Amino acid sequence: MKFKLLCIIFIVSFMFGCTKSQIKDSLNADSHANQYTTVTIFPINLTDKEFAECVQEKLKHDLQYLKFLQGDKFREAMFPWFEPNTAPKNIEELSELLTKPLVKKRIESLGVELLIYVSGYTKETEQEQWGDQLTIGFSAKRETRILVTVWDLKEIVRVGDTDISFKGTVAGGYGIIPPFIYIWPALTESNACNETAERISNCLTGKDSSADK
Amino acid sequence: MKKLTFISFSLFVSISLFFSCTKINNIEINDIGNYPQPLFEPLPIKVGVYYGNDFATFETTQKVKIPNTDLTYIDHVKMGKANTVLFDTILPMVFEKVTHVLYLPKGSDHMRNVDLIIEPAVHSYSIPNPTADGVYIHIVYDINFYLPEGEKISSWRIEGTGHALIQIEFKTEVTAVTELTQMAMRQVAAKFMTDFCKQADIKKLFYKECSQ
Repeated sequence: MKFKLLCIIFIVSFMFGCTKSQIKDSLNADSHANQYTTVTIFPINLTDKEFAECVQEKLKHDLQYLKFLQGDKFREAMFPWFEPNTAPKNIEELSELLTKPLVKKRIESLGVELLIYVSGYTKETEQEQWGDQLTIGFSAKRETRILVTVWDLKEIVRVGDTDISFKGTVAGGYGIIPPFIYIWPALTESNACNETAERISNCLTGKDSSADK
Repeated sequence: MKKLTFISFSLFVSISLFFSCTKINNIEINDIGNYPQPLFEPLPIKVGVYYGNDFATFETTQKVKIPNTDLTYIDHVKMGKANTVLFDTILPMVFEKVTHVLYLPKGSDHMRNVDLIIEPAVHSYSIPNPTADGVYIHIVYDINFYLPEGEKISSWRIEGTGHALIQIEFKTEVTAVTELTQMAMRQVAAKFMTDFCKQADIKKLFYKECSQ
């Protein structure tokens, strides 16, 4: 019986356990190594907050010399210039904004040298359910995508961006004969978050990230 | 008698069924939340603000169908007070002097002591049915600008959107609608502050003030 159960778990794990990734990374590691002391990981929309917090936690762990100013605090301190519908979208808009003396002065007083925009989503598609009187199961395709743009506020340049997505299948179910339960999560959020943080970390420490996947 | 009992019973069942699937919410929004002091020097422009009755008592009814359920919300949203609080909050942040005016000048009326009259109006308010992407609330305001003589110089449409991920928000409909409306209003406030001087007619009229 134990053997059967292990087989089922193994097969299910093999079927559903993988996540596929797609990575676009234009962060330039060479010229930005160890230059910064204070960073804001900034969720453009409030719905992106969880992704920003996840990336920040990972970066905090990897780059302990960096100070982080919370995205919410930055937004409040910069009101009304960094709301979802007013935040600069490109280097021209950012340059223009930084010509305003009050804005420039506030950024200097906050000490933020690097601003990292984070946005993203997780969506589930192709949800399926099946079963009979003795077994029941479900599966769904899951995708998490995190987009990041890194701005150097001292030099007023765009350091680069990343666009990372992970796809996987989440599945679960149970049976009565033989009795079993399985839950197989697709850890697309944490994979995308870890990969994003690693790319930023590599850029900030001058390490070379592996090529786009 | 039997017939009457049958009709009463049918009516009772129908009403019970209707109310089991439809929930009516009366939502009154009087507050806009707290705004930080903006990074903005008030413009040296004297503004008169006029609130029309439709704006100051604005209310709307929205029908929101919750996906994958039989549940429908009928939201009666009253937000006239929040409308006036919004502009009473942001206009003094943007302009050096703001006064309320009780009417829009017409013909030979010339409103003294103001350089510009602003009349905000609600163009639309909508709560689309939630989707997998979350729940949204859209507000669109028309900001009408008048000269002190009463001549309308332009109208500026500003939109704001409140957005939340439905699967992670466990809030009552009343709280969710209130918070998302306030979120949308904050976007309108921010847009008004950052883009007032970018409006072509305003830029032409107040070139000197906007250049400071």
